Amino acid sequence: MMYLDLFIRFLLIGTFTIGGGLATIPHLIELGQSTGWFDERFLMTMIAISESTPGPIGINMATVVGVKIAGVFGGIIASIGVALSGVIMMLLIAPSLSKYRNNRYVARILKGLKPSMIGLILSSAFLLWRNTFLDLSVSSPLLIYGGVMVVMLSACLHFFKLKSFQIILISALCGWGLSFIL
Amino acid sequence: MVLKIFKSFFKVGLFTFGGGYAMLPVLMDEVVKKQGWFSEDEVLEGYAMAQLSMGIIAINTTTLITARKFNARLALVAALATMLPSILLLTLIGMYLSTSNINPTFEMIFLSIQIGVGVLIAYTILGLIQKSALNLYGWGLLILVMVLFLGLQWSSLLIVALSIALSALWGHKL
Repeated sequence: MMYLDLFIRFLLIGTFTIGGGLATIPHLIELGQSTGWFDERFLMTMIAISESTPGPIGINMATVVGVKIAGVFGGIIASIGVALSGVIMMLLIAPSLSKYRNNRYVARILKGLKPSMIGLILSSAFLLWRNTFLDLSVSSPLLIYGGVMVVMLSACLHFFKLKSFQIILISALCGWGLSFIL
Repeated sequence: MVLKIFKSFFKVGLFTFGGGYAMLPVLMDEVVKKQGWFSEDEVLEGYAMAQLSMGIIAINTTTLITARKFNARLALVAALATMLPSILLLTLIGMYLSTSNINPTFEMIFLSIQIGVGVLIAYTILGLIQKSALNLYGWGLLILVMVLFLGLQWSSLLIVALSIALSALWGHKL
């Protein structure tokens, strides 16, 4: 019964995810909140792992969350669930792709979805940022460390064009160094 | 053929770092240049459509191009093969993550990784906003969604469904 519940929840998440990995995060935050299966700190670690390992981010996230909730089978079920509706849709539209591409309503929906997906992703980001800030605000050295890290990592991204797994690697190393000082 | 498809797409899944956007060059290398199954245009067209549909972009692309060129059975093989490396690897990591106890060193590392992910997300969102060049209606919709999700605690699934309905009616004004 647990597996069925998990499958249906991830099937729904996949169905309402349009535009890739980040778009699943609002749904995953909500899943954690409504079921209590995991907290936002787990989610943040999980996002970091999924971004720095090979494979589609959405599948990576579903596997980690699924394993956390229901073990090895949970990971498999969640991954298949999150991908299934997209796969079915692709099989359906494959024979007459151009017809769908030029459809008026499809074009409208795609245009309208952009701002709302950005809004949802930005909202989730606020929740995650707030969490990190609260974790940092236990002491002022930690807060200063956080501020320096944000500036340094932004510079690495913007000026040196580092990849996401490199950013995460640098962060992990800094954290490791910090654990010797504090 | 089944085995060949499986092997190629397993490789694509294994060597794609950083999600959907990073997948395209890896996919091109394997199925266009090395295997010659598709033309570059066929892959690009599939990728464009896959990005616009529900689900996981990389899996959608794989499924769509294979279904168009070959058949639905091979498309399913390709989709599973693309997912498999992720499932195997992340199951191991997930099992470790669920059993490991958090010591102070780990706590600092995880906290720092959180900061890194926060910066990455901020950068991605800025890129999205820049790329989509929103007009006044677009910003209105963006703010409405944020109020519904953060302020009124609406379900994210419901908000997406509502956005689809609104867009079908008035999407051309955005």
